[in-house]
Amino acid sequence: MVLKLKTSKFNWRFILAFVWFYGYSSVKRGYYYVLSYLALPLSLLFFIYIVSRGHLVQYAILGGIISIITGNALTAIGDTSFFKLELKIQELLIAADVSPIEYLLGIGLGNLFYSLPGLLLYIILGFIYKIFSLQLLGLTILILVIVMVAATSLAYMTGSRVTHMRNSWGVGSFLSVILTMLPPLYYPYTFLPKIALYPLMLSPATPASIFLQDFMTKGVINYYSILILIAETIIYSFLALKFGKWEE
Amino acid sequence: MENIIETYKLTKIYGNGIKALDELDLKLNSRISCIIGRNGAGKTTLVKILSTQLRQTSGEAFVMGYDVIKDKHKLRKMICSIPQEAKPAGISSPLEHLVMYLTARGFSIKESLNLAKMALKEVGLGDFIDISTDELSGGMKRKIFVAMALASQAEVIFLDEPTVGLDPISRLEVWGAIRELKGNVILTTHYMEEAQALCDQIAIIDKGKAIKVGNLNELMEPLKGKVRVEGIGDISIGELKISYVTPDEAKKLISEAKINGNNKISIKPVSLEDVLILSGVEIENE
Repeated sequence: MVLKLKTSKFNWRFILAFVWFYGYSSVKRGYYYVLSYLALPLSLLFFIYIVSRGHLVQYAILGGIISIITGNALTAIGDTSFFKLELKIQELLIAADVSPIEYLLGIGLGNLFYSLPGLLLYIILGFIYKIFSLQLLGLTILILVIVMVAATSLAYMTGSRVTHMRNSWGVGSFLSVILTMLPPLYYPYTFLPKIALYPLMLSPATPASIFLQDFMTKGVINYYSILILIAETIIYSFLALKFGKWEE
Repeated sequence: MENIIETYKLTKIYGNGIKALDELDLKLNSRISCIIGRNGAGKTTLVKILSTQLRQTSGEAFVMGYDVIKDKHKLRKMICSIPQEAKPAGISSPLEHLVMYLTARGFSIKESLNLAKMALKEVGLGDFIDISTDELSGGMKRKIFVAMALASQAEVIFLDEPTVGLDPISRLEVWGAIRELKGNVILTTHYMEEAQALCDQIAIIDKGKAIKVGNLNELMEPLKGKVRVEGIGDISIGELKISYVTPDEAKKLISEAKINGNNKISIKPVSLEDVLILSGVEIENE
């Protein structure tokens, strides 16, 4: 049997198969993955609920959703290093003519796949606490997709340049703290002085949080934050393709 | 027959200054060709360049007549390259690995599923297609990659040390699977018995240069009618002294050694390992 290979520029079939390989298998056989990504946001939700006597729980739910997506996308630092240095899957895929953007999308969507149980839980909580209108839910999903692309790009750029596996764990934890714990995800961004928000804008989680918080509390679209989020997603994606190590 | 691979003055110098390939000229044209050499000889670098993963510093390389840089996208549709020490992702199943790889090569999901199931069955993993690869033995894990090569329908398959770290039985099983591959195979190994068992053409490389190319008989020609005597000789490998002599000379050497009180002498038939040893000696003498 000789089959003709598809030669189109963009290989969606590979991306789907990679999501199956990388995302679905993690959920099916490694539910602890899902639990581990839920542990921190749920602990913070509990903590904020107690400290604020329930007043800030809506912020914590919205922040938890962003945190799950950003945190999961950043785990791709470890995964891309692992695939490259230990499993040699990156080498296998280069020689199979996979492009870095297809690989990046496969990893990003795979992450999104195993974030789904956590997201679902938070969305249910969001409805219980009456945060979500259909409009806010739609906007939240859109924002999460953009955050996922931005954070995955950062993760790929970093992970593909790591030369020792041990470093990837350290870099991953460090970036995870910087990009998900420092930004105002679990409390109103107005709690922070404006000057502190500028450096925090480097994390895609910050403009995402500002945008969703403004819509949730005031019902307004904060164009400033969405523009920043889109701009940095484009920049991070460009940097990932430019500086991420694919062929050598 | 058209050359499967050709290289002309192929040189690779890494960023740290290590020269892995040194103006390597090589042509291979057999269905299963082996590249053998010591660790660090340049085998993996050569395979990485030929399979378009690594750019050479200078020189040219062609696979089935296609330039590895100018025609890399065309070439990638024709090749399958299994990296040295490739390992499966423990949490994913053999089927998921193969489908992911085959869609990467351009097959549809339906075709990939069919090809993957057939290939996994062919390498003896038919009953394990849907379990986590963590549950498989070392040999079975390695066979996943041989199954990838089998299902790939590639014209040229690069296998970089496909049996490294496997026990003898698993190695034999992988050899059997390699023989079943339909495309042309370029295999690197530092197991001489592997090269002897599998390859129609063998290239010996050392310090980034091709020092001998031929079939087993051609390579063994200089040692024809000779045996290997261990325990005495001009060639030193660590503590071991070796010489290559005719059987009559060997008997004489043993008698003389016994008179001198040296009883640690043995005679062995020559093999491809001895060709590699002698090639190394020739390079040293140059």
